[in-house]
Amino acid sequence: MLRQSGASALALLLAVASVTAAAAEESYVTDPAHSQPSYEIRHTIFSTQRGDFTKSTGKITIDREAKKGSIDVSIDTTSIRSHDPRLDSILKGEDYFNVAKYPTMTFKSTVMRFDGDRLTGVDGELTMIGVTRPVTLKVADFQCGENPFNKKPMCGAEASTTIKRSEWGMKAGVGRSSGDDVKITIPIEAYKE
Amino acid sequence: MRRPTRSTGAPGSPVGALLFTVAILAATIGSAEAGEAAEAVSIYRVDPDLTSAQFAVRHMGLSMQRGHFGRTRGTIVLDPEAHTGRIDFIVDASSVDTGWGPRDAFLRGEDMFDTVHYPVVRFHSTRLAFDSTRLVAVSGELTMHNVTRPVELHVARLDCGKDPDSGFEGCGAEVDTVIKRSDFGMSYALGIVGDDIGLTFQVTAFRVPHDGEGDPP
Repeated sequence: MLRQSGASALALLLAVASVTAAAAEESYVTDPAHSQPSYEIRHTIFSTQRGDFTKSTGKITIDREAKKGSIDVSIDTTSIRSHDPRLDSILKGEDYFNVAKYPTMTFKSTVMRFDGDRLTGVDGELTMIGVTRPVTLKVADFQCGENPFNKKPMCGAEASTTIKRSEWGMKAGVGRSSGDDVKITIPIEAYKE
Repeated sequence: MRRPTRSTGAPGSPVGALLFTVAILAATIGSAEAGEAAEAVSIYRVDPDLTSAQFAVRHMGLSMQRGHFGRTRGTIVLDPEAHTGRIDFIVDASSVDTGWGPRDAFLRGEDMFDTVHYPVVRFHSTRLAFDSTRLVAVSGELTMHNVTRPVELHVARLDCGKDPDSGFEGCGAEVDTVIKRSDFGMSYALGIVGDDIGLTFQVTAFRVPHDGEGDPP
């Protein structure tokens, strides 16, 4: 009898523990339409050119109590848009994204940084045109709430970083017609799974 | 007094007509001054391929969503010595582009830009502010959705020089401001989609030659 209640107590404890663990780690999937990565680059002396990638997918797990998690983002390089169709075909070509050979670029997190329970930064690896290099994303305005239209729980943020494209071997035009520094901004809206 | 520009653009085209108007304006400015002052007036034509009009808005309090207008045109007249000039900038409202078709259709629709009735967003300057000879701010009027309101534009960056590839003289500028869409009668879903709209114009404009030595691109 005593033995049996002890076993029940243990089972209950395990059940509570597993529920707590499940509650602490949450999974999210990005809403592609509201999570379009964009870039900025200096062009000649005159302008800062901007463009974006309209197709991307992202999965995020986050445990705000344990202050850990993961982010996996995959960007369809064929969806690049510079807002000038002639430039788009150049950017898709061999000198830049070489989309025929490298149709996706990916970001995989290694470390998530928190301030309290707010996500503030992500270290990870960006793979672009076959080259993988470490990058650090700054995460601003991380907050969670509910979509007022469909009532689904979701989180939002804005991730940003500046990379040197030459480090990935994308050197065309560097120092001549366009800059090496590329500022990347990714708005994020992600639904809880 | 010399003509400040030769004929540029097809005479019947809107850009050509606008430029002609601006040319007359510039000539008028020039005639009021000594001959050298007319030399100081530069006229630039906005290069639509290298120019974008971007907007940013908070969405559901969760993220900043951005889009742009793909079709813009305009002319800029600057006399930095005299601290005068004029800016006219036109945006094709139906060229709104957020990278997501259903949202673009909504923005073109009657709840927002209503582009069937109001196809054009227009800015014209009323006053240019200079710090020494550097343009730093532009006061003007923005007409959008059939409402005209005063706006102040901040010139965040202005670089002028020669395009290393083409040799054409030009200027690049980043200009920004924040407006409230409700001021222009575009109040759909306020509270879910923000009222404050950040506008950023990346403008590249090439100088229209005084002597007709070929047109900028």
